[in-house]
Amino acid sequence: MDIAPTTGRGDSGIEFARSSTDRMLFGVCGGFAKRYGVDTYVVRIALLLLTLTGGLGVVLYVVGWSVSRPAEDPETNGTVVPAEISTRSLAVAVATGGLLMLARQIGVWPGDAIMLPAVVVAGGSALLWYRGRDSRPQRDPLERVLQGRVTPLRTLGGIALALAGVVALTARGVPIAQLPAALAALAMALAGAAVLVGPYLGRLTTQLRDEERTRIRDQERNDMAAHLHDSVLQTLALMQRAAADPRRMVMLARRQERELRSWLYDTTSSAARGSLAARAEELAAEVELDHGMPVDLVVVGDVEVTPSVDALLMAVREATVNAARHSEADLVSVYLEVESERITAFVRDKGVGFDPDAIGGDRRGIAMSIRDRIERVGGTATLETSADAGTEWELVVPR
Amino acid sequence: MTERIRVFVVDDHALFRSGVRAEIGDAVDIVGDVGTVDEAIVAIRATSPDVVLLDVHLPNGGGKAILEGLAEDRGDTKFLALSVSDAADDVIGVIRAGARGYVTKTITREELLDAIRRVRAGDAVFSPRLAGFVLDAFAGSAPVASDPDLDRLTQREQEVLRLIARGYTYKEVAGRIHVSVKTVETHVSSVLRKLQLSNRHELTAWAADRRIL
Repeated sequence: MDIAPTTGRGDSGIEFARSSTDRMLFGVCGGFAKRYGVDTYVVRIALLLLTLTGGLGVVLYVVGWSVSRPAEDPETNGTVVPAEISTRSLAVAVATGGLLMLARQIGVWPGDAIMLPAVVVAGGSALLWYRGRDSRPQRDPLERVLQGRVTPLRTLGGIALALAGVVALTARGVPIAQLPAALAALAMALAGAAVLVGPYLGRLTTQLRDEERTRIRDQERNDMAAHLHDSVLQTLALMQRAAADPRRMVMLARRQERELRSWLYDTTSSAARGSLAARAEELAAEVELDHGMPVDLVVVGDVEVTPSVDALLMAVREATVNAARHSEADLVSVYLEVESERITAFVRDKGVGFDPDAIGGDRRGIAMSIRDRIERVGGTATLETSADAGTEWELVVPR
Repeated sequence: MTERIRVFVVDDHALFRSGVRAEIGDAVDIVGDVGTVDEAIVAIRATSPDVVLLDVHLPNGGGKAILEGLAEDRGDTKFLALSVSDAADDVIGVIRAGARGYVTKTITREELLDAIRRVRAGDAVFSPRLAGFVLDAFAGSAPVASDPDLDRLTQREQEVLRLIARGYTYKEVAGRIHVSVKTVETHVSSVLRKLQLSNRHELTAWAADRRIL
């Protein structure tokens, strides 16, 4: 491995550890690249190219293996600043060029007709696979292109060079008349390559889709947690209080069962249908029934229930229930107004107020149901509370 | 001590009438209570009370029919509409027929007495619900009409109504927007006047548009 600039620091001498994460065979290239701060793919391509000239690449690989330690665990991070990687990788490329010249002079050379296209292909590949400053290990180049971290120009340039090299290699010494046949052969070769690359692309797509699915699942879990908090946990709390009244307990249980069924088995929750005003009426009636707290509801304007309206109503419900349970007021005022750009809700009681910072972590009501719900649909939730003026929520969502 | 206000109650539920009697009978004079439109017109004419608590919904025409039946000889009698939860067009109809305010039956005793005193003094009484109805009725662009001032609420009037709709009392509204209670009363009375006098097309066509619920 003496072809590279030996400007290593930290490690003593030329010894380096093979890589356990960034490897194709034994991790020699990966370890070397990390030790000297160059790009792994550039090292690999250089070795492949040198292998064509009398197997020099294989010799270098074996030498590299013998002077390196087994993989360390955990791997120490490279000591090289990312900005230097480009320069050093270029140095590796130049050194490789020098070795190739030398090989040509001393006769271990399969011929210009093979080697020139091979160098072009290698150049294109290096351009395509080169990772540069992207320090994240094991990133597939295609994925990097898909995620927009590599300029399409470099990718296209790399592909064009590689293809040109392949064409030159294939069409070498072919008379013009036979060119179509040669191109057909090339097309078949590419088709073969597609068969090889296909599974890789498929795997990549699957991986991206899995990530998306995980994200959606997390979102759904949050929604479900919020829903269960609003319905089932509330009902259970009520039932504990109503333990002395079997009839009321049965009523609460039956209502919860009905609601939970409709939520579980309908594609949209049954409450998500109808208009804002109708839903608000239902909501107020429910809170009055469940908590014995009068709810003074005023709705100005009306609108179809959209997801953001739904979120607003759920938050209003939570705020109203909180007022009913904790405010010690005689009445909760709920005001909803539909404006051209947004929908505003006020939930107010003239009760004892509370200290929002003193609410414990297990009381998920405020953080989860009110603020999160509203902010998740791009709205704002403002709380005003004091011991003498009571509590008022202002909830605004865009239409 | 000031003279006790003479109050008359019109509601088709006898239970509610006796409830009102029991609740405020010690603070005001209940001079009568009836449950039908025809009886009410006769009895109110005979007793000429200061304030009539008027149910919006009654058989044979409701509170509006009583106001219209008494249109010629209402004298100094003021009307305060009182009910549970009615359709917006019914409530607006009663106000436009002459009632000075509208409160819901969930109102507390103190608030009800306060509302009666206000109406007696010639002020308007806006409950949150009525404020909401009025905001709704005056929403949208002002129409081209003979008297645009009557057809549009000012910025300040809207602000006051919104606060009332949110459950603020007149006093709380005054504190919130830094004006006197008197100023709030002026705004509210002005809104009531617009509500009763405006020919705004929306106010009449409103009932038809409002069939959402």
